[in-house]
Amino acid sequence: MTGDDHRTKWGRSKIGSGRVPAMAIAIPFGVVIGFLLSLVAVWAGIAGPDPIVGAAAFALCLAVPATMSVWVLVLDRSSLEGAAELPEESIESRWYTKAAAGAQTDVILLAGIAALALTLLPGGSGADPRIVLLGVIGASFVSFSIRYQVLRRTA
Amino acid sequence: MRNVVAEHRKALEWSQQKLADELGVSRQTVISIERGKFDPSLPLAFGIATVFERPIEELFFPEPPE
Repeated sequence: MTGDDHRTKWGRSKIGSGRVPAMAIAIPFGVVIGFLLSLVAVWAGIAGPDPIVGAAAFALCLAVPATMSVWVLVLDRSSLEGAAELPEESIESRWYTKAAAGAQTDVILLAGIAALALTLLPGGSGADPRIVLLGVIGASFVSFSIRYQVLRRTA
Repeated sequence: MRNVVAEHRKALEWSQQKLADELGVSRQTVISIERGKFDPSLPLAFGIATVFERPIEELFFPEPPE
């Protein structure tokens, strides 16, 4: 039921003939997106006192996640080495679903407790929303990771 | 749910990876099914029955009532 022919570590693109390596598309697009976002950072005035150094730092930091994001979008999964043909039928999909559901519950609980604490604590109403949102993202990552690892190790 | 997937796989002298490849799932999925830790979906159970050329009820059994 599987076709392992011509599978590669980073896979091929589902765009066009399907023979182009996915990274051959992802890397140039990722670099361009990173560069454009660095220009936005300079324009927004968050790139620091030296715009060239700031833009270079932003471009370097954003090029990798941008490349990986484009790779995910253009990748033909069936061309990826070791990828299961029916991932939704695999146990990893069950772990993912259970861990995500549990993490959502944790985040709701934590957000409720944090909202109560910020309301009651003096100066809590002035909490920086960027920090709060980063906390929510961090908590969801941590919760998901722990839950997934527990499910994996107990399987 | 109990099953005799491991027995049928060993009768064919297949590795867990070979069965996983035939079914299009990960090896960990086969391991968990054989240990009874993961009940496969109905389509996957039918896939297993097809691979072993056995009716599904010869491979999977409900747990006996306690």
